[in-house]
Amino acid sequence: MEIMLTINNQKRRLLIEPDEYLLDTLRKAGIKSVKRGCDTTSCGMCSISVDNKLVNSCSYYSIRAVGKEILTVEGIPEEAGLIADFITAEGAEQCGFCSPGLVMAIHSMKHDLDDFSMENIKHYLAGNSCRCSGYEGQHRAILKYLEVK
Amino acid sequence: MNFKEIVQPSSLEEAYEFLANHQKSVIIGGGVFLRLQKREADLGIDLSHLSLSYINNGAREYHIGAMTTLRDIETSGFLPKCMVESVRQTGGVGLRNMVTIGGSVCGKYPFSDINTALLSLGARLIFFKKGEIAMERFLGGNYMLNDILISIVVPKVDYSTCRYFKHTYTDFSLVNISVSSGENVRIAVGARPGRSVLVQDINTKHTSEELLDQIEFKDDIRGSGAYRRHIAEVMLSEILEEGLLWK
Repeated sequence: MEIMLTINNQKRRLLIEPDEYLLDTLRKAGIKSVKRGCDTTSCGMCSISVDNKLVNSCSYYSIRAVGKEILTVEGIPEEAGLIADFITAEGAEQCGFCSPGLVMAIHSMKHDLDDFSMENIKHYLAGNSCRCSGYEGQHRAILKYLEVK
Repeated sequence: MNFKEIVQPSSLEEAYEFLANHQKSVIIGGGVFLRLQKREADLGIDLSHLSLSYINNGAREYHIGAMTTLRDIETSGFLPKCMVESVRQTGGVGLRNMVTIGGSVCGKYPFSDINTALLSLGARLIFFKKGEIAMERFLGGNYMLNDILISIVVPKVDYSTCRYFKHTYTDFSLVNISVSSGENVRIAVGARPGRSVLVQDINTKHTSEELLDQIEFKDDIRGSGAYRRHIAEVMLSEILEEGLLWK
């Protein structure tokens, strides 16, 4: 079936299977920042924003995204670059596979939270796994990034 | 779960027509746990266009639309503590932005934390055709309703809280407990690993051990029944020691 999606402020006409998930649709559309990790809604590698809400695209039906604003790392290049700089400076960028999902989670967190205590940050980002960094470097980077922003 | 077709009805009548006229149809709430099921259905009925995502704060009860997400419950700011706390560690924020309360209830998932909370609060389920059914009766029965859950009515209580034990922060609970007190005291236990159940005989003189004697705990790959029972006793003791439940 054919649907029209708004991806990073651009209208895209796409052919999908009826029960296709947004992760597959986005990757077919050339949005390669969105990664397939666990494929069971557990790891957060596929995190994107739909209508300003963080979702796991591996379990979000593409058909449900019609008429909504889909945002990926490609849509926030300056913000993503800045977050990546802070993560790199803290030595928390290793394999990099989780980074796009983490960047989108940080982007959503900035809009969702009023109080950026470490407890709240850890709670918000608990769904974004990283198998390399041990999280400490990521947390330092996020705190420094939030100070700047 | 794979669907040959997904429809997005714009009214409850239309959704019910699809359900009644297609034998191999499945209602899609959040769709997250359906994703993990290895089966195929002819038709998926997506309820996301039916305006069933809302939380109304009434005088004596909360009315929660079936498509309200767990994240909406977490951030509501006024729902009972046991509900809010029960969903806080259900996966990450991304998952909670998709999982719906209606999907959790209708799936009767034995690992569910929110179902235990709803049971302890004496919630009532409002179905499109069959009307009102008590959460306790719905979870206890083995029948499957060919109907659409519209909303969940949660009575206001004086006090509620919950406890759960997980191997990791966002994991499924190994066992969970939720309690409330208002007109009467209710204690529910879930992830036993069976569906949530109520402790029937409650007496203020009962210890946590005596209260949990009424509940059956079983083994599964994640833990033994004896282990679950021990953890549940510790959690319920904590709640009783706070001294707020019997007031």
